[in-house]
Amino acid sequence: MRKAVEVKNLSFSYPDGNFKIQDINFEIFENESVGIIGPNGSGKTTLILNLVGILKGSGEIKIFDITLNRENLKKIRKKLQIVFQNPDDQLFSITVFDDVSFGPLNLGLNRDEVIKSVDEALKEVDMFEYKNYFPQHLSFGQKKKVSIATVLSMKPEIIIFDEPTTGLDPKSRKNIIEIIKNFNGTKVIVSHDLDMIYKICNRVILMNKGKIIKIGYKDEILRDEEILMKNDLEIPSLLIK
Amino acid sequence: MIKNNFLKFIFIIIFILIILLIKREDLDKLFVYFLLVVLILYINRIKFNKIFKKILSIIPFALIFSLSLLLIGRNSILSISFFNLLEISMNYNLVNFISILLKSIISILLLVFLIETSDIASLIINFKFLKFPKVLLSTTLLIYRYFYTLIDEIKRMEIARDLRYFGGYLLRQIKVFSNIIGVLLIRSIERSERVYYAMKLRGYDGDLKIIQAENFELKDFINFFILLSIILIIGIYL
Repeated sequence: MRKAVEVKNLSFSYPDGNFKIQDINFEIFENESVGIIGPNGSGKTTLILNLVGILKGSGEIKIFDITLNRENLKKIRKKLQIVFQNPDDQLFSITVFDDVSFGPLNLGLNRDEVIKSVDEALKEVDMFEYKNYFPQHLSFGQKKKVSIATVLSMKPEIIIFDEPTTGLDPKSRKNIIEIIKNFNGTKVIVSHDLDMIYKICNRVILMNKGKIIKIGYKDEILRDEEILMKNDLEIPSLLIK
Repeated sequence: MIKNNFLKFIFIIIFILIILLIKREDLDKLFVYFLLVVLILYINRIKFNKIFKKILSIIPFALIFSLSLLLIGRNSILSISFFNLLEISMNYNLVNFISILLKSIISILLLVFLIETSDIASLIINFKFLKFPKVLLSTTLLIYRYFYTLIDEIKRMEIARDLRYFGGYLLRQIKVFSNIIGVLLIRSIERSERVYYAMKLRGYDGDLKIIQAENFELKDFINFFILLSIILIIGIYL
């Protein structure tokens, strides 16, 4: 099976030295769905920012066998995208259309291709009729959907979803889970929502204090009450009889 | 009227340039231009209070400059002709004052028309066409986008403050207010960093690319040339 993400000996610390991730090693295969879980401040977001080259640590990161470095950044960002936790960080344009077209335009697509990819992405998240809306006027759930569309329009092979269900009502949460499930590619989901992780992912990476505690199949980790409790997490409610 | 934002923008730029090129003693021409702009605003149903507010915020600056011309300048007398029907002798400084004031008002009215009938994205595209600095345009767009987010943030902080704060001495009030401003600044910096990450990830290289979604219609071109001809005819033959 083709490796989508390969991380070897990754370490990173912030300039103020307050927080670091240490000696991170893992692999994610093509079309796999992997959950990254851990308590607040465990280094999940720092890790994913390293995967796309926004933060630069030591060690080696490969995305579909392309080594992450300054020269390959554009190639890697064509393949790997992140949907950030707060949609207001992702939606910075004046209309939904401008936001969703931002990525394809920067990829150098022509006008017709951009319009086509925007329409397809907005239809995929069921937000096509909001194309000309000002993002600020959308509900939080709608903003989440549009922020996913901003990435879908770039047609990446891997998407990292950072806390995709945080702050959503049950209906919106269900919608987002469906959208993530429907994405045909490699999915990495960073979340505390272990029910969602259990529903979508086949493997789980458990992190705490900047280190990987365990990597394994979802049943192996998410049913292990001891390891979850030790790392300030709980067994997913759907697994509790 | 011109619906296409680009043509409208070009028309307004040309109109303002013509206004600026009109000689100070051609007060009759300026007056006709003023009536024409008022007519344009009326046809486009732009509310009077909006126009008034915008004029009020800029006119003081024009007044300061034009009033100074009343005091310092030549003390000669100019003969001003009104539509070749009436000729009046006026003080040079007074003519200067009226001319600058009229030019300012007409320009402001034209800008009010542009702002009220165009969306910000198309304005940015048009300024981009005029080779305005990219950083300035990106900043303008982001300020517009995040202004409302900032207001929401302030409102939330205000609520949080009001729930736990029951007044106090002026010094204490200033302290609480300064804390809010400080926290707001830190939050803004953090957010701007996250927004920048999101932009960089999607390929932002300093150039804000926006698609011009609208199409050019023949009707817009016809209206553009008719209006342009009117202002040129007034300028040349009146």
